Amino acid sequence: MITADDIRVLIQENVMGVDAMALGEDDHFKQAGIDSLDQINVLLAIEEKHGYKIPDEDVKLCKSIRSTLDYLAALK
Amino acid sequence: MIGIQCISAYLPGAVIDNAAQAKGFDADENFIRDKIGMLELSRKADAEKTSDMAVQAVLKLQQEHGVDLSKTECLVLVTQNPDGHGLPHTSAVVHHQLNLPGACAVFDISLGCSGYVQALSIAKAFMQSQNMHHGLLVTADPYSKIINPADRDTAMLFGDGASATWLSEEAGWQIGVADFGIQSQQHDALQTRDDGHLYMNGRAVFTFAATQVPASVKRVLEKAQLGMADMDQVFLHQGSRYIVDTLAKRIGAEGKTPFAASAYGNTVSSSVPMMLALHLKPEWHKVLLCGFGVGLSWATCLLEKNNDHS
Repeated sequence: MITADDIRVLIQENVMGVDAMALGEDDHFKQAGIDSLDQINVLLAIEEKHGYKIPDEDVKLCKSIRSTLDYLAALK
Repeated sequence: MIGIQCISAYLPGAVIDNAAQAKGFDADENFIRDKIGMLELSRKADAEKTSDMAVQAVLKLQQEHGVDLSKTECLVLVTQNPDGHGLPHTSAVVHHQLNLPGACAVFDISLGCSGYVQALSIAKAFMQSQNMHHGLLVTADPYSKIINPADRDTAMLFGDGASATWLSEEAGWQIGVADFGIQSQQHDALQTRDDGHLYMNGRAVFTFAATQVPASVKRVLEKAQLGMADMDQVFLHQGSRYIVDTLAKRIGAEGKTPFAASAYGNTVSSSVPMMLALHLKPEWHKVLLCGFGVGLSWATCLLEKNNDHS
């Protein structure tokens, strides 16, 4: 099962200028400096590393670490 | 062996200030500079046709490199935004405007951002099979004809531009091994819709490029029995700064993949030849080219210096 820290690591690896390890689970990605391009890059990393398939229409549901975890938990 | 002798790029005179435009899309200047990368987008005049841009690129080739156009045996034009309704083929109009010889094979190729790299191999094979010695490969695909200025996904990306490449046996650069492919189940991720406007599924295009381009680059290097360390530069399609930077990491070529489209934008099939025209250095020996986009298709090839004609 993917964890909050797994997502933080992927943010750290793929997003410049954001201290991912200090990111709270409810922090909104956009307000934390993770824009729409960063978001799709992080979602791709989640798909590649953890074997999920996130349809385009569900990207909007992944707005924070917690909402992403909740979404992925419901997906599998 | 047919290869690249010289290349010229043509950019129309007008530009759009992308930072100013971005305000209307609730995008800040940092996003434009650091992610989109395009500070200005080149724009053709309303009356300027695709064929006019192609002709200007060829005339620049003649002026800058002294090419003798009377030797042209083949004219290939890459475009998906032809003059009028595409009949006649725009290359026929270009051929007429340049007063090229009648004994000349003239055709369009309908491809987008992968078009130039694919067309290099097509033109080379065609010319060699027919014992031709000199040919023109032109790209001109002005997306301003199909951009919806209110569409945030596309209005901040594309610029108008054209290129002309002189292919000959006296070429300084040989067209080496290549890799082509398509993820056609997503052919609708970049398309002109019934309203005449371009539609782009940005996530699908990004994911396609981020996964297929590294695999294609790897195959070309394996075919050539070379590594990334052997490449002097990698000229990637200039889709955006973000995709170029992302791909640089994914193919292990950071520092070798310049982003050079900040002053003119994503010029589709002219993107890679524009890099060659403006940034190719004579001291380099091996350059990797990769175009990717509409289809969703990709084309990667190796250019190798021909020391006999450099």
